[in-house]
Amino acid sequence: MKIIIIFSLIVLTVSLGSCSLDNYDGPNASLTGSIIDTETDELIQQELFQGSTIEYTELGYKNPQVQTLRFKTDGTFANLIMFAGKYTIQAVRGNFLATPLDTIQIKGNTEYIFKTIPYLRIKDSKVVLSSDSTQIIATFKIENIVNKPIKQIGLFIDQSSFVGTQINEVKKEVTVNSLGSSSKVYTLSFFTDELKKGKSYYVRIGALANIPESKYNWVTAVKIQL
Amino acid sequence: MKTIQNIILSLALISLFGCNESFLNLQPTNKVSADALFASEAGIKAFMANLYYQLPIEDFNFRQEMGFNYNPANANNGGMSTWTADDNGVSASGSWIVSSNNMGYTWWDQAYKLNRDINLLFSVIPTLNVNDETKRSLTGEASFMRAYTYFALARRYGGVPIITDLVPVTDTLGLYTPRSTEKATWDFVLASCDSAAKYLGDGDGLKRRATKWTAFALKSRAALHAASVAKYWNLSPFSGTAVDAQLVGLQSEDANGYYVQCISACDSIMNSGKFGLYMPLPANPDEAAINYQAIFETPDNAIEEVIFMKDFVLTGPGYGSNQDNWGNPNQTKGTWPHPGRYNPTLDLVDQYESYSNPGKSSPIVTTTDGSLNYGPYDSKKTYLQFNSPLDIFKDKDARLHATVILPMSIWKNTKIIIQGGLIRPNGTILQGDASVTVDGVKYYTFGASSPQFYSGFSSFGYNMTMTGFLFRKFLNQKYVPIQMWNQSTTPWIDFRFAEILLNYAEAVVESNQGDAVKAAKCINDLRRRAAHTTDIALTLENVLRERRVELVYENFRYWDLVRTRTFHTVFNSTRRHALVPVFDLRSMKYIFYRDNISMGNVPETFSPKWYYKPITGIGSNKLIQNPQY
Repeated sequence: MKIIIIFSLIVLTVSLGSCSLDNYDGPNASLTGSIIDTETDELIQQELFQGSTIEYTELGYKNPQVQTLRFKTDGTFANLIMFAGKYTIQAVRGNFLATPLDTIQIKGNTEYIFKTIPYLRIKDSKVVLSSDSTQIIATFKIENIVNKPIKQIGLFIDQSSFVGTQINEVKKEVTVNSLGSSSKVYTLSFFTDELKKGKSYYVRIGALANIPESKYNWVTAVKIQL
Repeated sequence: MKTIQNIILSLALISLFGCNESFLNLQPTNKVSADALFASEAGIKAFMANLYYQLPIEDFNFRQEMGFNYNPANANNGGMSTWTADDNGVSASGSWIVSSNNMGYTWWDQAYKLNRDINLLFSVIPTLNVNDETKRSLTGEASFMRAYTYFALARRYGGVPIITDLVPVTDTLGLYTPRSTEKATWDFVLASCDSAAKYLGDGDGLKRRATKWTAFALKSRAALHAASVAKYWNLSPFSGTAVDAQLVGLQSEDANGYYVQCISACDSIMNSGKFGLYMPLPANPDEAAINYQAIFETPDNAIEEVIFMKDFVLTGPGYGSNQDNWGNPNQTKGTWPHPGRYNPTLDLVDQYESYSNPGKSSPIVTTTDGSLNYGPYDSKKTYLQFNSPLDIFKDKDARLHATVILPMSIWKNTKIIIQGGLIRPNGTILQGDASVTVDGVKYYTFGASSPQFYSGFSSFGYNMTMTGFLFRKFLNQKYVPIQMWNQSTTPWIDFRFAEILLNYAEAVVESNQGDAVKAAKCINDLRRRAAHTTDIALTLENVLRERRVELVYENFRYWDLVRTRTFHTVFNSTRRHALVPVFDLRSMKYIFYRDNISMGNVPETFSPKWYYKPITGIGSNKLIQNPQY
């Protein structure tokens, strides 16, 4: 009996002694930032779902996987649970010229700003409800920065402020397929009879450049009360 | 003392058995060695049967999210199928474009297991104790299977490792074969088809095993896919490491070469004189509809059109299929608890031509203003009135009537009641489970008094159509479903002559090679079989429409959308649509309205990265992953 107890104690001590808490730090760093238009110093607007992608890879491992992060609708981004370390980072497949592959050190609260040129800028935009409340009318101009044809323009309407190509109760996309000119005024309108009276809707104007893997360029969504 | 005795005894016993090396050389008694298997004709046939079973045939049991041969003891995936995962159909219980593509079934491991078995077959054929003719035939079958395997891999992944030798397990370097380019992979598929055609003959006429013509048919399908990817790559181009290494991507200059290979493969089949359309000259549309439906219900009676088919002889786990269970209307469900799950969309029904207006799709018009917009019933509009719901479809292509159960049509001697509401005598619409009494007669919103008597629009059990249409093609008119899985035994036609005509026509119109007059005859022969009497011109639009309505639900739509890079524009926050019959109590006639599907139909988007599937095991197989995974 005594032998059994002593034996068990020996086994226990040995097995517990071989356990140690893993000695890696938890994710205690964060990465925040934004994407800025170098010419106007303004945020480049994005959409949350199926929008532009931030690719980052943690260095120091044999087969590092590329991880992705999304921008918020206003063009900022944040990942508050990151492991400290050295990373490559790049913004790709978006509504802007892809940023160069950069290497950064992430430690504590790190900030990173992408500086690049958007494909298109939507200017002089206005979204109004017609006087008889039957239509939502959007007018705007497009500044074509990279001189590639404008593929299409779109008006997206939803009750959520996250309105975009994936989140929309209704949408209207019109093919343009031309370089356009900076003075041309585009108009997109939508009849309100398909929407619910008394609710407020977010209406967002977008323009898509005809470049492989490009995404819509945006202006801020406008809230309209029906 | 006793402890030391025990220790010595144990040590003695351990050393006694530990030294018995021959223990490791015992042969397993539950496996057959290759020598034994291939020594007899029955053994060879059993091996071949297993290979045919492993082929990536997208038949009744193929599910985008579950893989091939999905007929286990409990085959319950809610009634989703390939028929509910594109714009031709939805399920009454959900919407599945995203899930089909995101659920991760990618057929990588099974593909290379099949590939190894095929390589084993190749290595063993010269040693078999059979005559030369049989050896040639087996070599041809092995080439066909190799072509089929790499075709299924190429259209999912682009370029893949091409492994044609049996790699011994001790050869670690050989295990890390890198991916070939997408072009080299397609060229390998087509070359394997050529090899198969060289070694195979006409076969035994039963069409259950590969023949020279099966090889050409596969070649025409594969070449058309490669040609389309080359031609339409720029509609959704990719960037990244896999693209730089050309593991995915084809050059537009390569398109013509592939179209020409498709044309030549189709020509071989068409010129052989061994195939034709079943009942090519019907007397009228009613006959045409019966003939078309008969092809799929009993393929053996239409054997002149079949090039390759797969049987389901037994029922039960691992044997039968489930389309009669999920697909039957609620009224003819037998004792199966969840019918009506396959709902053809209005988007499909709109595609069919009308006999009086040939050469273009004839969308269903429901109002006097001819609008094709979608929305709820609007009392301010003037709706067209019909004595019977069938009248609105009267002039439409026979294949619509053979593919889809239309409201109030007869199926299994039962009038299938599909109705979505009543217009009250005061002109307002009544929907949901309710009734109205007029002149002492009670009328019901769903067309009959209780669920066992109707098949549409009620949310009862998710057993009623949400689109206004139900499934007809492939269903067995003589079979009454019971509450058991895998009971359907209808054979699956994998290649038929109609596809060859359509592949030829598309390759000709896309490339301007081949014989344009012959190509026009191809689509018009198919239309003539559907009782059309006016020929139409050879245009891409006409060819694609003809392809869509002739081959609907034969598992072409998904790949047609992929190879033409139109999936992401067809499915960009897209809803599918319903046609709702409503009984107007003011006129005692039927009206219809076109609407978004009300239940379980969310806007769906096809993400362009799904044009290629992710390769599994990337961390350990040292391969380059496909873009954006």
